[in-house]
Amino acid sequence: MDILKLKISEIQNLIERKELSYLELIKEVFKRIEENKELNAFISLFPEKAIKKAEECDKEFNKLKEIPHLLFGIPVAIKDNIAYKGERLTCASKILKDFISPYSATAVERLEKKGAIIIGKTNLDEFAMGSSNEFSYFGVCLNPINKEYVPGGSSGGSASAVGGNMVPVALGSDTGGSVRQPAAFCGVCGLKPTYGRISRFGLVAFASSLDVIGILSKYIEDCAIVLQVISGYDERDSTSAQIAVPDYLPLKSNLKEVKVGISKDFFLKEMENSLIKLYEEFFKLLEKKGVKLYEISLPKIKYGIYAYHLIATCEASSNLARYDGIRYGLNIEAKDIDEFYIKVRSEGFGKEVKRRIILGTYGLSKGYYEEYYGIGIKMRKKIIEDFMKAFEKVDIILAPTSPTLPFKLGERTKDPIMMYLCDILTVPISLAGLPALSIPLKYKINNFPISLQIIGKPFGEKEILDFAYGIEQL
Amino acid sequence: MEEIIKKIIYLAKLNFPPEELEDFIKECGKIVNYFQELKKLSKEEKEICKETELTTKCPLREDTVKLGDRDFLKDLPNFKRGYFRIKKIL
Repeated sequence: MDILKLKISEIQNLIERKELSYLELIKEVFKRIEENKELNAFISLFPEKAIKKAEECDKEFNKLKEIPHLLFGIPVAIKDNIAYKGERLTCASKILKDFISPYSATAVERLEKKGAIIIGKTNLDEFAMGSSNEFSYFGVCLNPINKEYVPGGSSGGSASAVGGNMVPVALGSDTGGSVRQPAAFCGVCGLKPTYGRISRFGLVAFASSLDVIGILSKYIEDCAIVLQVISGYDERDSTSAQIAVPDYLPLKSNLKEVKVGISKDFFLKEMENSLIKLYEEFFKLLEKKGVKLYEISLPKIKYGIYAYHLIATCEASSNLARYDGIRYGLNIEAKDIDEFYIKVRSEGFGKEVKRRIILGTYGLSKGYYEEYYGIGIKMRKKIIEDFMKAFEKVDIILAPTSPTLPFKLGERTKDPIMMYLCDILTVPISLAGLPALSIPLKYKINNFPISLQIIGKPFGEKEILDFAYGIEQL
Repeated sequence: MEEIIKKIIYLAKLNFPPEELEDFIKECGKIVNYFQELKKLSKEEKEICKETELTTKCPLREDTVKLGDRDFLKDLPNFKRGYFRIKKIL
């Protein structure tokens, strides 16, 4: 039996029956990571700390005679743009390669409070800017389904670690699709919660009005367990929502209860026919199972990719101005302060990050602000209105997660626009701040599963998890 | 476009080796042209360019600034007598 292919509740059952210990579980995790070293899913690992915690969990369990929480003693990986006290926080960038975080993110603190064990920090595109995990200072991360392909990005390391059965769950971050797209490429579940549902305290800012911490897991239930723990108001994040967190568990299929919207606007003419046909087949299956499907219209989502890149690059150029070598960054010899700033930033940032800083600075500069950023903001409002109008008619919207299947390493790195288009189906949801869950379907092309994006109303995570659970049971 | 991008590279406190600069400017130019599509699209639907009011329930709420009870200074390394020490810069 492969314990790392089990659900968290099944792992805990084994521990309860004394067929497995937390120490054995953690040792298995590090063994698996070593076996999959080639995937380069991790930037940092904490074996000593994790083994010590697992031993403490075993002692505690033997004393209590019961498991205090489903996450107790469970190994969790976190993306390396999320702070973990006393450990490196690199954002996969040379400029932060030696930076040690003085505090932990709220989401990480909440996980640890329930006994979860942070085993390491995963690879990503530098500062979460990318869709293939090929823009990391620490090297390319590979897809566990086929190593010649990219794992998606920017949370490629987290997706690769979960898809490669190295950990049951991992945290990622999603600004324009960075949890959902790699989840789709690696055949796992990826949840982007509503903006404000999970505290951003301790998440390194890329585009603050879009960034959220997300969850990657193999099973919907595991995703719900983690979401239950890390959701909720946090006074340290001024954009954290003061809205009560419902009970996500137990999951209950709502397939026959919800009204489901499908929009042609998500099925682009550039998408391959074979891919579109599989989605059509799946929607027919849903109808056969009694799911009520409605056609909806979202005409403004076609502006999403433009609006997203304008807003995100502008926010990034402002957020990344702090990396000046004084508060954060490299220690480089220079003759004056101007030369110092330029040397640190030029040597510290990679090509894609520099490109986005330049584009953002351009978009915010005098004479171009209204023309670019201003229009982007107005488009964003229109996209939000589109979704809200659709949600007057339906409870959930279904769409493909990605317009393509995973692509080969190096295939898109030379064409930034092609790379940006990877997120064309995920960015409208990010702009609207809505929750969305990407799940793998049973249909496959070249061994890669096709993925479905389940989009919910604001703070409608419960509905989308129950719906996904229903699909998982089909 | 080339001059504008060169100026922005300076403003953003960045620098490129001469052999990379030309390609970088070309790539940026392509992306800026790609953004121009947005202007074309928005002209097709003129109402988008007008200021729009959000009449729907937006998940983004008003930002409120509040200092928590947590003592952030506790987390700082080398914090003594109201100051914190950083590494030598120049």
